[in-house]
Amino acid sequence: MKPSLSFAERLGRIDVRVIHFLVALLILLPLIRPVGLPTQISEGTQKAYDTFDALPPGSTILIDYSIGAACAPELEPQATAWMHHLMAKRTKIVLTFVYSAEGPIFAQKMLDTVAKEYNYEYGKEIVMTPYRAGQETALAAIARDFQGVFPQDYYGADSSTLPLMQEIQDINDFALVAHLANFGPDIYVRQIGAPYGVPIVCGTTGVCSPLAQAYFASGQIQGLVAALGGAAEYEVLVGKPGPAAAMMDAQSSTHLFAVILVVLCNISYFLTRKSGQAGQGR
Amino acid sequence: MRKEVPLIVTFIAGAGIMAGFFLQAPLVKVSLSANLLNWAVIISAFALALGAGNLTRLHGLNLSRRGKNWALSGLLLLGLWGFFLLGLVKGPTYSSYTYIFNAVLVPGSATVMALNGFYIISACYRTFRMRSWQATLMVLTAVVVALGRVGIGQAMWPALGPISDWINRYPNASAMRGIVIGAALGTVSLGIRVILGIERGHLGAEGG
Amino acid sequence: MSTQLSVWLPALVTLAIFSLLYRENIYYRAVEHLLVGVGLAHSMVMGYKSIVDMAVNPMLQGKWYMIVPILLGFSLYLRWFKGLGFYSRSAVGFLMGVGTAVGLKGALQADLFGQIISTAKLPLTNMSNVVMVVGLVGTLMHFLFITTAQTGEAPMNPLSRVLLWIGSYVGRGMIMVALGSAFAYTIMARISVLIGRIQFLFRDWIYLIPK
Repeated sequence: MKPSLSFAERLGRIDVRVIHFLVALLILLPLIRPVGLPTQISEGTQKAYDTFDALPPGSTILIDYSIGAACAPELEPQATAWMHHLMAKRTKIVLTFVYSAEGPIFAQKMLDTVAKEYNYEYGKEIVMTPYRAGQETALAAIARDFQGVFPQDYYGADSSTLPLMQEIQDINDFALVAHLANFGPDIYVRQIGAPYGVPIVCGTTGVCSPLAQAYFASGQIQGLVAALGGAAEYEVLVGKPGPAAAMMDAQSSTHLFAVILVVLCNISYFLTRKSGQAGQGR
Repeated sequence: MRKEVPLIVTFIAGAGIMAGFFLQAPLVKVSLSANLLNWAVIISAFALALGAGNLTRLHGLNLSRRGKNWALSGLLLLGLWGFFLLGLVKGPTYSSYTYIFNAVLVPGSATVMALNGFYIISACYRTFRMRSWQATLMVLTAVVVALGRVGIGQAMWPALGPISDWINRYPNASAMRGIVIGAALGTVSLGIRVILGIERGHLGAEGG
Repeated sequence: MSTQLSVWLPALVTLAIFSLLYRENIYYRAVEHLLVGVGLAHSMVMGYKSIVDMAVNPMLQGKWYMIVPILLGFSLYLRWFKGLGFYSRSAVGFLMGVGTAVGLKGALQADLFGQIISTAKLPLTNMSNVVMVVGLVGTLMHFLFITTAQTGEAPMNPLSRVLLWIGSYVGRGMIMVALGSAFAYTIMARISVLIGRIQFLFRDWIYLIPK
C-alpha cells in the first residue's frame, strides 16, 4: 500500500495542471473586474518621459519600431503612449525597423490610429522606412549613410519626394534615437550613442531590461521603459491610461500567485528536509 | 585557393570597416566603409532565404515520399511559398497580405510565447528552492522585484517599488556591467582573430 | 461572441496552440507548421525589398558595381549543390568580416571603455555607488580569476588568494541578485503576453471582458 503523503510533501507536489488553471483564472478575474491598483513611476520611465518632454517642438527623431508579434503586448502599449506624447509636441518621426521584420505591420496599425488622431502628414511629419536585415550591421549602415540605405520609403516612394527624408543625411540629423524592441540597447549604444553622441531612449521587454540597466546606470542611455509595468507608468505620465494599465491588475495577481507558490515550495522543502525526506516537486 | 580567398575577403571587409572608423579621408570613410556596410546589409537579406531553402528541401522530400506527417509538410510549404508569392506580387501593404499576417502570424507567435507564461509559473514552484546561500539570494531578489514592479506589491508596502528600483539600478547593474565588459573583451579578441584569419570556424569544416 | 472571421481565425489559431497544454495533437502541429512557413515567408518578402531597393535599382541606374553584393548573395545558395558549397564561403567571410569589425569597434568604445570610465567616475560618497563599484570588481574577479584561484595554476601569495576569494564571493552574490531580478522580469514578460492572449479570447472573441 502506498504510504500517504504528509502535509509538507503534499505542499510540494501540487499538480501542475491545477497551477495552470489557477494562473488562467487569476488573469481572467481582474480583467473582468479591475481593481485599480496604484502605479509608482520608476526612475527609468521618468527619465524617458523627461527626455522626450525636453525635445524642442518640431525636432526630428528616429524610432526603431521593431515590435514583433511575440512581444507586442508589452511593447505596443509603450509605443502608443510614446506616440501620444511625441505627436502632441508635433515631433517629426522617422520609423525604422532593424530587429523585427514584423515591425512595419504594427507601425502601419499605429499610423492608422494614433497618427490619424493627430492628423500627422505622411512624408512631412512621419515617414516609415523599409526593414533592413543585418541588425548591428544595418544600424551601422543607417548611422553612416542614411540616404544610401533608404533610397525609398516602405511604400516604395522615392526618398527625394519626401520632405522629411530629404532633411536626413546621417544620424547626426536626429535629435534623439529611440528603440522599441525585444532586445537591449547595446547595439544602439555601440553604433549610435558612443560614436555619434546622439541621445538614446530604450523601450524594451522585461527579459532584456536587466541588461539594459547596465547602460542606463552608466548614462549611455537617457531613459529606460521596461516591460508592461514601464508601459503602464508611461501611460500614467502622459495622462492616457490604456491597455497597459488595464493589464496591470492581472499582472499583479499573477505575480502574487508566483510568490505564494515560491513560499509554499520552500516551506515544503524545509519541512521535508527537517524530517529527513528529500522534498521533490513533481 | 579554396581556403585563402574567403580569408582574404574577410580581411578586406573587416579592415575596410575598421579603416573607415579611424580614417577621415572621404575615399575610405565614405566610399569604402559605407559601401561595405551597405553590401553587408544586402547580403544579409539574401541570407534570410537560406532557412526557406533548407526547409523546402527537407519538407519537399518528405512530401514527395509521403513520409511521416507529409500533409503537415505540405501545409508548411504552402504557407511558405504561397505567402511569399503573395507578398512578392502584391507587396506587404496589400490587404490580403496583412489580413493573413494578422490572422495567423500575430496570434500564433504571441500564443507560442504565451505558453511560456504557464510554464514559468510552474517552473517557479518546482525549482525555486533555497538550497544554498546563492539560491536564497536569488529567490529573495526575485520575490522583491516581482512584487515591487506591480501595483499589489506597491500597495502592500510602498517601499517595495523604490527597493526593487534600487536593486535593478545598483546590484543588478553592477553584475550586468561586469558581464558586458567580459563579453566586450571576448568580442574584441574574437573579432581580431576572425579579421586576421586565425579563427576560421565560420568557413566550415574545410576552412579550418 | 464575435461573428467576424477576422476574430474567429486568430481565436482558432490561439486555441490550437493552447491545446498543447493538454497534450500534443494534430491541430497544434498543423498551426505550428503554418506559422513557421508564414513567418519565414514574411522575412523573405522584407528581405526582397531590401535587395531591390539597395542593389537592383541602383545597378539599373548606373551603379554597376552593385552586381558584386548580388553575386555574393546568390553564392550563399550554392551550398545546397554538391561540390559547389565552397563558393559560398566568400559571402560568409564577407559578412563575418563586416560584422566583427562593426562589433569590435563598438565593443571597445561603448562596452569596454564606456562602462569602465563611467564606473571610475562614480564618487564613492554613498553606499549605492560603493555597491556598484564593489559589485563590478567582484563580478569581474569571479569571471576572470576564479579558475586560477581554485586550481592554483599561477603562483599566488596568501593575501592575493584571500582577496580573490572574497571578490569572487561578492561577485557571485551580485550575479545571483542579477539573475533573481532577471527571473522576476522574465515572469513579467511572459505573463504580459499570456494576459494579452487571454484578453483577446475573452474580450474580442467571447465578449466576457468589457471593452
